[in-house]
Amino acid sequence: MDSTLAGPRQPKFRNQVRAIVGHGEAQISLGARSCAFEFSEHEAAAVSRLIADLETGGLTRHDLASRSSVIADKVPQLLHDFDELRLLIESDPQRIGHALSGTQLYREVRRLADRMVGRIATSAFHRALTEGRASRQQLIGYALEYYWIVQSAPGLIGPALGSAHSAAERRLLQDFLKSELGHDRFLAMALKSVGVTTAELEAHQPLPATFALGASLGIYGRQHPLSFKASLFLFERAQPAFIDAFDDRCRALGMPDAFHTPLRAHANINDEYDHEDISRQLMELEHAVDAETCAVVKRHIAIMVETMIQQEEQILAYYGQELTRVPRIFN
Amino acid sequence: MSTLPEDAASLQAIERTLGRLDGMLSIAQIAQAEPTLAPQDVENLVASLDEAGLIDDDAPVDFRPGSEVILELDEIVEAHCAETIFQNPFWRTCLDARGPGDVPEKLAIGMIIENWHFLFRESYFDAPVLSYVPNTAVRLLLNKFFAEEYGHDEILLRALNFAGLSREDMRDAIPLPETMGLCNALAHWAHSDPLFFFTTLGLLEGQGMKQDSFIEACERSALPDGLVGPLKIHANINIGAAHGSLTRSIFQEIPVLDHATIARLKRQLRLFVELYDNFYTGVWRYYSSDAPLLRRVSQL
Repeated sequence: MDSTLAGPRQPKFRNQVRAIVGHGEAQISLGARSCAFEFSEHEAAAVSRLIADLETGGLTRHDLASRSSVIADKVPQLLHDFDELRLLIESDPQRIGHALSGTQLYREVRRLADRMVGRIATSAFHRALTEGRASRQQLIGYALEYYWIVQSAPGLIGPALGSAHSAAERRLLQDFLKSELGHDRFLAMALKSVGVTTAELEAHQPLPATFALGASLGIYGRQHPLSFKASLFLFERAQPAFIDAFDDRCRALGMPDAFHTPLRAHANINDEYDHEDISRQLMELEHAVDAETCAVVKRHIAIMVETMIQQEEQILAYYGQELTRVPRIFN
Repeated sequence: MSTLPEDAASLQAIERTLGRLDGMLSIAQIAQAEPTLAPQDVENLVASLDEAGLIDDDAPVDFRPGSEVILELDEIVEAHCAETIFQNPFWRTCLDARGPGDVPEKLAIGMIIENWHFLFRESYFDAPVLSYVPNTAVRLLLNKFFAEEYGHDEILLRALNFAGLSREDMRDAIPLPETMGLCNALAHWAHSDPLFFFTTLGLLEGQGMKQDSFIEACERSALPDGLVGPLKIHANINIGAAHGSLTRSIFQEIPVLDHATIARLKRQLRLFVELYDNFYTGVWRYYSSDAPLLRRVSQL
C-alpha cells in the first residue's frame, strides 16, 4: 500500500468551508474548526486566487499552482495540509462516480437477458418437447437436474439473508426462502414414480451446467448480493407453454401422472407467489449502484443466461445417451 | 423403565456383569457371558448406567487417515481424467503440436485470457478456506499457498499486453460461461465443503507435472516469446513451490475422515473433473471460432 493518501486530483473546498483572506493572514474554517496561515504582501493576490479557485473547483493541482505562480512552490504543501484537515473534496468529473438506481439497472438487465435469449430463439429442450423428440430418459434427466436445483435452493438463498440490511429486504428474502422450502419432496415423489430411489437421489451428481447455475446463485448470494438479486428472475420466470409441452410429451410417452403432476404443481406455486417479481422488488431497494457494480451484475447475468442454455444442451446430450442407470452416480 | 430381577442369583449375575464393563467386551459379549440374565436386561442395565453418567463407550470409532484416503482420491481423479480431459480437443491439439501454426495463436491467446479470468478470481474461491478453523496445519498451508499465488493474474496480463489487450480491456471482458462456472463451483465448495475443495487443488495446480504441456506446445508452434515467456514464469513458480502436491500435503495433515465423508468426496470428483474438462472444451470451442477475441460487457 502507498504510505500516503492520494489527495483529490481536482481539489475543491467542501461546501461548508468558509475562507477569509485578510492582511497577511488567511483564515479557513469549517464549523467549529479553523486554521490560518500567514503570507507576505506580494503573495496576497496569489493567495486570494488560490482560495477562490479552491472554492470553485475543477482545476488540477498543477493548474492551481501555475495560476497562483507567486506561491507555486507552497501550493503542494498547502493542499496537503488542507487535505489533512479534511477541507477538500474531489471535483474532477471523471473521478466523480456515475450511478444508476437499482430499478434502472434491473431494466437494463431484463433487456440484456431478453436480447440474449432472443438470439437463441426457443429453448433447445422446449423444441425437443414440442417436436416429439424428447425421450423418457431425457424427461427423467430434466426432472433430476431440476430436483438438484430445488433441493439446493434453501442453502443457496439462506446466506443472502446475512447481508439484508433493511426490514423490507429481510422480509422479501425471508418470505422468498419460506416459499422455497420443502419443494424437493414434491419432486422426489415425482422421480420415485419412475423408479428413482431415495438413495439414488441422494447420490445423484448434477450435470456441470446445473451445478454451475446453483453454485453461481449461491456464491453471488454470499459474495455479490446485487448479482444474486438480479439473477433470481431467471430462475423464477413463468413458463406455461414449456410446462404444457412437458405434460403433453409425458402423456405421449405413457409416463405416469405422478411424474409430471408435481412438476406442474411446483410451477404453479412459483406463479402464485409472484416469484418472478422478486428481482424487481429487491432491486427497487437499491438506491445508487456504481459503474463497476453495474458491469459486474451484467457480466454475471449474461453468463447465467449462457449457462442456462448450456444446461439444456447438456441434459439433451447426457440423458440422450444409452445409460445403464439414469441418475449420475459415480464411485 | 423396566426393572431388573432382584433374587439373590440375579444380583450375583448383575455383580459379575458390572465387573465385565471394563471396556474389553461389547454389550453382546457381556450378555452372552451371563445366560441367567436376558440380553434385554443387560442392555437396560447399560442404558441406565449411561443415563446416570457412570460409563463411557470404549468401542473404537471407525475412520481412515487423510494420507491414505488421498491415494484413492488421486486414482479416481486420474481415471476420470483419462476419459475426459486427456481426450479433450484442446489437449489433443497441444499434445499433437509439432511445428509452427499447430497451436493457432488465437487459441493460445484465448487460453491465456481464460486463465487470467480464473487467476483474477482466485480470491473468490481461496478466501473461504484461508480461515479453515478445523486444522491449524492445513490453514497454514493454505495461507502460504495463497501468498504464493497472489498476483499471478498480473504475470499473465503481461502476455495479454503483448497480444494487444490492456488492463482496461480486461476490466470490460466477460469470461466464458465454463470458466465462470468453474470459479463459482470452486467458491461454492470452498464455502460449503472445504475438504472437497482441497481435493481439487492438485489437479488445478498441475499435479504430477514436471512441465506444462500447453507451454511446450506453444514453443513447438513457434509462438512469440512475448506470449510464452510470462506463462513460463507463472508455471515455474507453481512447479518450484510444489503446488501440484498441495492436495497431498493437506490430506497428510488430516488425521481422521469418516466413511460418509470419504464417500461424499469420492462421488463428487467426477463432477469436478467434468467442470474442468468443460473449461478446456469452452476454450477450444470459442477461440477456434470466428467470434471476437474478447467478449465485452460494453457490447452486451
